Amino acid sequence: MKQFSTLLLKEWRENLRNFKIFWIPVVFILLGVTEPLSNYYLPQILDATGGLPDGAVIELPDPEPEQLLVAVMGQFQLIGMLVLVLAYMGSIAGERRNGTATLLYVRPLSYVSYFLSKWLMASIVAVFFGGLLLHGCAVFSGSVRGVPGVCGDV
Amino acid sequence: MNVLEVRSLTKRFGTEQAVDGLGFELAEGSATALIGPNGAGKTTTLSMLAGLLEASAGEIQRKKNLSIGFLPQYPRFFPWLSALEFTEMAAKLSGVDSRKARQQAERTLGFVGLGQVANKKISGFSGGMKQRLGLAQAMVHQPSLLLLDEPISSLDPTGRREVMELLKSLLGQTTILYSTHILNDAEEMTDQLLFLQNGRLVEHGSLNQVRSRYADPQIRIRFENTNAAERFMRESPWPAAVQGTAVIVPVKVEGPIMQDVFRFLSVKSLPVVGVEQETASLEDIFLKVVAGK
Repeated sequence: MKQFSTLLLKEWRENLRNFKIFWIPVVFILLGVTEPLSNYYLPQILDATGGLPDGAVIELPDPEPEQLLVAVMGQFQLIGMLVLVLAYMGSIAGERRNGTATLLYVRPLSYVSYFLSKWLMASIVAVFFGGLLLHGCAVFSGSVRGVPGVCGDV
Repeated sequence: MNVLEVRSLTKRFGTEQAVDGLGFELAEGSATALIGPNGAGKTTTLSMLAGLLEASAGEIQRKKNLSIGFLPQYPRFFPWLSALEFTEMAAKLSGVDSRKARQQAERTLGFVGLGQVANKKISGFSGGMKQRLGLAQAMVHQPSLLLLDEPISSLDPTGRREVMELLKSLLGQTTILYSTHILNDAEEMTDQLLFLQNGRLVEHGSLNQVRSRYADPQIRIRFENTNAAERFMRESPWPAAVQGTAVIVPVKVEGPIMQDVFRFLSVKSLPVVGVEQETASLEDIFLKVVAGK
């Protein structure tokens, strides 16, 4: 347990000091914000890019907050997952390759706690910080439409 | 009392025999120098002893509850940690009590001369500072055996001296096994020499034992001019070789000893500048061992 908390502290410091803890949520914010905005401004976007041919009629119902949330989740699952994979891939292999792991491996280290410390830290960044922002996005998407959002009006 | 005993230790990488039937013992509190040309298997041996590599065959017998500190040849650190944070982490991972870890880390950093920069990020450290930090992380948990792979080779002469003094002060309570290329320094801190070549132990023993085996002591007599040297050659009863204005007389068991040489020189009243007995330095021995005697 002491080993695990020591390793987790190391992971925390790494994520804090290479700014992963900030830029990963920011990517998620941008992803989440663009979805309702692009929905809301879709008619203007279509006009600006030349509009629809005469006579074409497309009904664009304003999406409900719930629908937006589902769409944002879809974005997160695709691009958000890719971001997380890119940010955390090779974090064990990388330490082994560049030799920093040597100074850990010479100690009576439990591989389980070594792996778990990395996994838990990545999860915290993804779920906790990502989740906090998802909440923010949900509130935001509701307020853009002027109706009470999923998580209450702002 | 031996801290570590190694018997017919072998490591193969594919068909390559990196270490071949190595056997030696480390007495408690002693310093052992691992010497050999590049590629002799020094690093592989140390890695096996540190438990980083699995031996292909053979046996490593450690004393019960032996704690080991290891310094790799090129230690790599997490650049985003400070020296103190890293050393403290190393202490905790080695089982030092959490409350004592920081204190012990601070003391160790001071000991290796990094007290001033303990709170600086490692990313800004020079090579020499990293080497010292490597030493700090190896000894922060006060291990009874230190395995050091080239601990001084990358340091400047001042740093080398300081680190050697520091290591010497640890001897007694700590057993040290280190590999090195700097033979002058090895000469100064060694109870046992292990010469490796092509993965095999080609020579071992104390410095004096090895020296006596390879020494070929000789007396070098320097004269004022070559005439005197040549006269010595003609008239002396010993086999000698001229080297400029000097004469080299090999010292065999039945050969001349200093007093005889002095007597001969004064009887003949040759213009002598200096007489000295030369023994082989570790470097000479190294070259001889590597060349196969």
